[in-house]
Amino acid sequence: MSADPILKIVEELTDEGTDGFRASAIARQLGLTVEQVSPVLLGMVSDGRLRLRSDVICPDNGRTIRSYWQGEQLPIGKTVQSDRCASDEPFVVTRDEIWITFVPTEKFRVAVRKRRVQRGREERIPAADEGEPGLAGTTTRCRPTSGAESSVRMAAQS
Amino acid sequence: MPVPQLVIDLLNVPVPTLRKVAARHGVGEGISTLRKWDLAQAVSRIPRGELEAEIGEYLYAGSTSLSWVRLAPAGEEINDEDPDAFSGLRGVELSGTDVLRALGEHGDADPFSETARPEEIDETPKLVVAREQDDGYMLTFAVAKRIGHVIHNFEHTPVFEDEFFNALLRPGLGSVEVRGSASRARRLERTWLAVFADSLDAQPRPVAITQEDFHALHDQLKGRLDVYRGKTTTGVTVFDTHEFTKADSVDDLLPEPEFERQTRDLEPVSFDLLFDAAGFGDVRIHVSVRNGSIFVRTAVPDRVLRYIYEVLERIKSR
Repeated sequence: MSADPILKIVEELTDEGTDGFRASAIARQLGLTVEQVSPVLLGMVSDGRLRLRSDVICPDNGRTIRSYWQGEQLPIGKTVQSDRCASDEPFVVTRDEIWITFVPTEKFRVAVRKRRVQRGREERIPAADEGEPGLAGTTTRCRPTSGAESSVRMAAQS
Repeated sequence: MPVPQLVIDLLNVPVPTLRKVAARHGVGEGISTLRKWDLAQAVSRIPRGELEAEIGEYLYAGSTSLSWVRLAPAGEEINDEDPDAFSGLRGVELSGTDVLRALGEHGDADPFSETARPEEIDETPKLVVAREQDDGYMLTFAVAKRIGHVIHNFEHTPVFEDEFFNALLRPGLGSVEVRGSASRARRLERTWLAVFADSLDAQPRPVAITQEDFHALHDQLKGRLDVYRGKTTTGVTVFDTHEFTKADSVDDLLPEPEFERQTRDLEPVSFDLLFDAAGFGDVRIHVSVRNGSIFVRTAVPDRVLRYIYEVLERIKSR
């Protein structure tokens, strides 16, 4: 599975300020399975772009009770009770009650933000061929181009 | 004074049904004002044989949650990461003789006697009584449930009650249908059932109910989705979970495009389904894909619980 489309959606979610997303959110958007996207996301955990968070959720209503960062001891096998659950009855935490969530690291958020700002600046560059001031969202959406590509474009314009 | 098992079983019967039986047999005074406990006490004066014939279908049914446990062969390697490992409903076929032997070994007393009872009820489910049925054994368990605490003589004292629940062991199919809350089912599976299965060279495995199973249940029961609860997956909203309930003008949420749009980014937690059980009427079930359970919210007779099982079994066998 190519990492590019997955990375694109992770960047979009990060840009939208995600508090942590599930692999299923990515899988659904791409029409893939969780098993297909998970290795790529775990790769992003390894290279420091994402962090793993384990959420203990209430088995009866799905609400998150408590979150644990990677490395923290999970309460598997322990009895938990929470007023966030529909029932007061305590339950024993099993792996089924643990949701794995991917959270962008601050470094990754900054990098995504920088890229967005950079894109925004490029979008504001005047469209020379149309002779009008640059407008965000016009056809002049640019991305950093190689020298060769730039010279081809300049030749075409002249 | 110990509470007779019949009174305990009668607590599964809906109040209107208890009232009808009490009136028919002329037991109890001021029947229309009696509460469930008093009604059960009054009706328990009727011999069990007569009650079995009249309301036997409710004694081990009523409004209850259903969860299933498959008895897999002891040596079967199970990959916890493989969802298919938890999809099947059928386990290893058990012989009647072996089951009777194991029941004898793992009841604290004679498992078929109502009067011989476990010495103490604690937080581990204890087999109270077993009853033979056409397709297996109805096992009644008791477990201590902490219902609160009081201060007595300036001491903190926890208060417990005995909670009873049933489990239908189907030896021919190698499965156990737990008729109690999902947490009871999990506890039974980890404790009594694990030991019981071990003596039959088997191991208990919970049966999952997936989103696909729910869709098949919806279609096969000709059900209407009434309530949906889902959990956000993108983390870009201020909400943790969402619940959608059906407007009166809509018959079924599931085929509605607006429902599809609103729930696209959610992971389902539970669904409330309404369906018409032939000969009984409207039934509401709460299908929890997190718990792997079906909570039958309507107080129903045994045949409705069996119908739900048959439909699920058909779905799981495909």
